[in-house]
Amino acid sequence: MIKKLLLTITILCGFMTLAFSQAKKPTIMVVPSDLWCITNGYIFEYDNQGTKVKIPNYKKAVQESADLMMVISKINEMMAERGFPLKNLESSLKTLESEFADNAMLTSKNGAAVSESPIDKLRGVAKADIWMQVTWIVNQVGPKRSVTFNLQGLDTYTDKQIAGASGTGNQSFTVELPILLQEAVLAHLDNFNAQLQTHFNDMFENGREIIVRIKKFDSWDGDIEKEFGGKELGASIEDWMKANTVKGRFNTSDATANMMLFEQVRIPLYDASGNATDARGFCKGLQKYISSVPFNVTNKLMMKGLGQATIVLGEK
Amino acid sequence: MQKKMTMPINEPHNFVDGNYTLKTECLGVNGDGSQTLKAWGNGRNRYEAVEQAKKNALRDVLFKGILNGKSDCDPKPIVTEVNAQVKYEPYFTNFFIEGSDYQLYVQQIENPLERVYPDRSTVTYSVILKVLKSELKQRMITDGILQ
Repeated sequence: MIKKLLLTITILCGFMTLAFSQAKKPTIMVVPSDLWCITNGYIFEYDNQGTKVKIPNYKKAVQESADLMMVISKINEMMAERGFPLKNLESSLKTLESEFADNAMLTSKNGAAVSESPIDKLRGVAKADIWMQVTWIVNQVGPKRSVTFNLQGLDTYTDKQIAGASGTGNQSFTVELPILLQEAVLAHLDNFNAQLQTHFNDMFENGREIIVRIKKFDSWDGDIEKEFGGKELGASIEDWMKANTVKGRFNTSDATANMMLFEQVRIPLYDASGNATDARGFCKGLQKYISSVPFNVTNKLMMKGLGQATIVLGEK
Repeated sequence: MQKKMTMPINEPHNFVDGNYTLKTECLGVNGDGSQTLKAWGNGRNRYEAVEQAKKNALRDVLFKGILNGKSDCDPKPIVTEVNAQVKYEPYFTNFFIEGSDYQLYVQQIENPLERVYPDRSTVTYSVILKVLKSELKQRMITDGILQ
């Protein structure tokens, strides 16, 4: 009798150890922060429709800075130990070079409308859920060194900061940067990861957040206030958003005769057929709705990065 | 007189905050397409809590996907149509009525394991269940919820 009881308890304990939580985790890409790149001279200018814009030059940084490679490697190692899938910056840059031309402009057939920076293109290629920006400074007090670090977790779809950690490690006689960094980061990393996981779980529950813009080409004689069957096109678009976003969640931030801006749009992770969908897949549905009866308005869909879509009415 | 030994309840969980959201976890996938899950349910007594755990497990498999526990279970829900739970509310309300069809697709395979008391009037139990995912999906197709 007692043996049977002990056996049952052992089996139940086995079940309990099986039931540890191992939630689905977001993919991460570790990159140096803009501050680090600018401080160390790794920037380049690109032409954004006539305006010179300075952005980090990740390729040069990765090729020339051994410290950066060691830091990225160490953080990748620490995140991988905790079960987070990783995208490698260097590999993504190489893929980007082989897939895209240097010209950063995307245009309609009749003229320029939306331009995408090289960083947006890198995000589009890497398709990581979280962009992890890291900054560090090595402090020296006599023979002892320590590292002050700052980690920012950014959602690649919305550029919102969804997790953060910063601090200074203990002073040590260690010379190697990765060891100093590991000592500094270790106490903060689990809290950082918990914040990432909370955001990711929210995404599964309530949908992924994107931004949708509606604009019109000048050559189109209609506008967003044009009526179809007694209802304005803008109102019909809002009804479609209400029906197709998770729990009807979106925010009409701006609406005029020539443009609409929807922010905090929560899109489902899977479409009705059960296939994984993203911002482009979601907006294809809206594009089809606008181009079908009763509207029959030709339109063009343009993406910027992973989470910003613009539908321009009037032409292809 | 021999003293009866009682089954010890897992002590740490007695102190879990009643407002903590206890999620359905995957324990494994069986060869016949069914999934073994650990689900939590709350009720006035043990019977009600276990029935609620069964409904919670089915709802998670239908609408949310199983994201916690082992990675064997498909994280994709059966019904991926956006806002389906609201859209087909009358159907699902009927489906989950006490004693109705939902019981065909979930089986309790172990006695309730862990017990917590979030407040004086209710009890929360975890229970190991077998969810017949393939049959449940076929039922959704037959009833027109899935195309």
